[in-house]
Amino acid sequence: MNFDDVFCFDKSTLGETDRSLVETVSRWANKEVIAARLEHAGDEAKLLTSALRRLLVDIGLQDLFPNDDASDFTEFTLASVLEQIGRADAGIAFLLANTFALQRSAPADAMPATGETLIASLVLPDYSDEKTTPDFDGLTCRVKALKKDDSYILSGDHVRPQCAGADASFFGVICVVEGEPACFLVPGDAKGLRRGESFHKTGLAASVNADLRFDNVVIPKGSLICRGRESVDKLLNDYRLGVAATGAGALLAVWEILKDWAETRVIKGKGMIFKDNPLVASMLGDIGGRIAICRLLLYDLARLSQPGAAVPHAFAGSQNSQWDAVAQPGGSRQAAPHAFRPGTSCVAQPPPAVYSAVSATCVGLTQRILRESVEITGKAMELMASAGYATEWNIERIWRDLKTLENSLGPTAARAAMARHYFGSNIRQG
Amino acid sequence: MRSIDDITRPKEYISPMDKPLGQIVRRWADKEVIPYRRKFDEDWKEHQFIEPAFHKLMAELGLQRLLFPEDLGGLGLGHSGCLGTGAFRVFEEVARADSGMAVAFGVVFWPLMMICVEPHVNRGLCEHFAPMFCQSEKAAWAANAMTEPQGGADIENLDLLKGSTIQTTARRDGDDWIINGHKLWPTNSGGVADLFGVVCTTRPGSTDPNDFAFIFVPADAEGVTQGKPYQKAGMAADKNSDIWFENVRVPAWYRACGPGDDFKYFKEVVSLGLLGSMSFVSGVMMNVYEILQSYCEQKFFRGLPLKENDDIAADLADFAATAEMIRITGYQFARMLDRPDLYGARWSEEIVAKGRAYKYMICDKADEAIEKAMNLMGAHGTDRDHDIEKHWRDVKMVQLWMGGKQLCQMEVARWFYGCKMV
Repeated sequence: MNFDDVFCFDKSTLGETDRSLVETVSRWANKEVIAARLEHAGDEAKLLTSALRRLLVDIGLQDLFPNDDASDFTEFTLASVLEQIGRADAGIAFLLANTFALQRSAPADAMPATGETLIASLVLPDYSDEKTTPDFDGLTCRVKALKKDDSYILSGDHVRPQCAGADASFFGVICVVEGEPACFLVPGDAKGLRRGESFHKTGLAASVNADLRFDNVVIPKGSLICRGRESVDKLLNDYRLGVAATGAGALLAVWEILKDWAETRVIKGKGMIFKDNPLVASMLGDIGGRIAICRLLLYDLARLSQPGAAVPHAFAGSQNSQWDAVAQPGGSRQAAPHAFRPGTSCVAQPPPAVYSAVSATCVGLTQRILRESVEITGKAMELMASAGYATEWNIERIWRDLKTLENSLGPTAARAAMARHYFGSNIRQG
Repeated sequence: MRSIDDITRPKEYISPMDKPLGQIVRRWADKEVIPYRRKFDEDWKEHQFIEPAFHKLMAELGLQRLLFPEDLGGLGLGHSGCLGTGAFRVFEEVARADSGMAVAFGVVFWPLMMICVEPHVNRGLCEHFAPMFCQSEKAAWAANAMTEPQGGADIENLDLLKGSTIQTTARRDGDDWIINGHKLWPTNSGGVADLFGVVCTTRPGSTDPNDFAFIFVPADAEGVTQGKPYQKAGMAADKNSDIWFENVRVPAWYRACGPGDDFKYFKEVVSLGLLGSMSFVSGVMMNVYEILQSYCEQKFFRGLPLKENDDIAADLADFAATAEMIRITGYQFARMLDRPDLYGARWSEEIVAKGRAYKYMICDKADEAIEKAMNLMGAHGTDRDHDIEKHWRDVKMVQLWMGGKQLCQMEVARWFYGCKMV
């Protein structure tokens, strides 16, 4: 199936190499996951492990998105590849959204591939906590970093990573260092890093998650891979792009399943093909249109996430420097100590005000795509009646995955972040 | 501190059986189900953990006797005048703990109501089947075999299709019926049920109500084969499978109400199914209210309980308002079923249409409200540990079954707007 003939987007964003890669991943999705799932119903864990290895190791995707300015691959590549993976399995795509975001921020040799599947997970700040003062963006970091000589000591408990707490090879831990957001790359086998029991959750079966405890984990200073608002935002925006691609890709699978159902189901005993019923057609039209919009939004998000987007003239209407002080309570406005993107100054000076507008928009677009994804999938299930909740039809799995994905990003915190940006809300209680 | 009992139901409607039955079931739910329901959620195939809890409710506490007349060992709900409100309370309390268990339990009474409920009691069949449910020391199960592969909920679309799409046939052979057909999805299939109520046609393609037949078939009758349980999004306690009837022979008097009346009273099955659906959702809303109450008091944000944040409080208010609306509406429908003298027969087009309207609206609102409740909890909203996500999965299933929303909408449109073709 060529989805581009159905759900259009700006094809000029992908080059020949991108297209070839997407085609490879699409074949992997069809063969290693979608067809295999039909053949080996019930052995989901085995299927996912095998498919992930095939994708990362055999096809070599785990070496594809290094932090390398010379790389041919762009945010559009990331979006289109994760879209195809999300079509196959949102859980696998979510693992890779985490992994690729970290790889794109870490030094090229920081996460060596060893011939085994390499999975990394972000550890993000929380919304609710007993503290009265948030660390940044209204959120609180559960992991605290203390500088000691040439190292940092990380500590914190009840830490929930975004995914793969049970088996990730690396964690990208967002903390506060000297008043500004930062990210440490922590190997999964670091001394003092303890993993709890894996827990059950609604969906995203490929991610076996568990809470973490950082018991005075000593990390060399070179593991500080991002520091400062701009570089952490870049990391988070790459992550958001990956998550949004996962959601938009899952919607392509929803479309495939629903199309099959609507073309083969006969109702009312009169040879009425389901899709030809006026009510059903109306709902299908709504669903199709909304999937198309999600796909367009995804590629808008990819465009927004690419380095050029931070150039003020690219989004001239979105400057909002008057809110910056509010957006970073207690935080420094110094730029990252090492330049993250080409053309970004290393000198300690305020980051371009426009960048927070980009980040806020990335938060908003990602949330919108995920909200739409959950709603659209729910509507598609409604059209399938009991088949909608039968595992056999696969759509209920996608629905559970998407809801888990939406919640992993924290919808309430996202609303608060956007209120801070768009309206300057200095949210407090009482 | 407010509790689930502060969620309003019209007190003037409450049945005399409400308090004793409600208390019994709540105690059972608190002790036997809620502490273990995460384990139940994984037990969809074997039911090794679920069965003992059911045994306590149905056999030891005797609730499987609910519908049968007292002189046959039953609790007499079928002729109590409070079938709707009594059943609503019991199902709601079970669903508060586990709506999958509520479905499995409620469906025991679904086929039996064709023969146990006034004014169409079939005394002979009541006497015949009463020992299975009223004198057994084991949980006894019944199931409604309705849905077929070719048309899903077409069979429930009685006013439009009048049974013309039914493929399962009942052929008279002397003093017996010979039944052949293939059914999908019945709750309590997959090897659970002891007794099936089977929707058949005596003349395939016929729209004559006399040809619509509802016939009881013991699960151990020769020629009955049940498939393996389906895996679903939720409701592990509700087993569903294929059932094949191959030249199954049962006595002619196993037909529930007879020509014409089977068709007429089967609409009551639909009404009671809608009532059950509403009660399951209401029970879920009660438990989600409890979970939210606890979570938003124990979780803190910037030094204060989460519930003290205006944004969160607004969402909590929306949830409570939805729970109120759902419970009041559900009890209103229950009362409508209990007072046919005021609202019309339980099998009338009006009652079925209004039941469909309430059911789909309740499900839509609950689905939306529970999703928002999950969102309040962020990543924890999808943790199994908090049980909200289980309720979310289960309510979605209630929303989709019995033909889903579209069939509901068409029946509502037919009655309110006189549509003929939809």
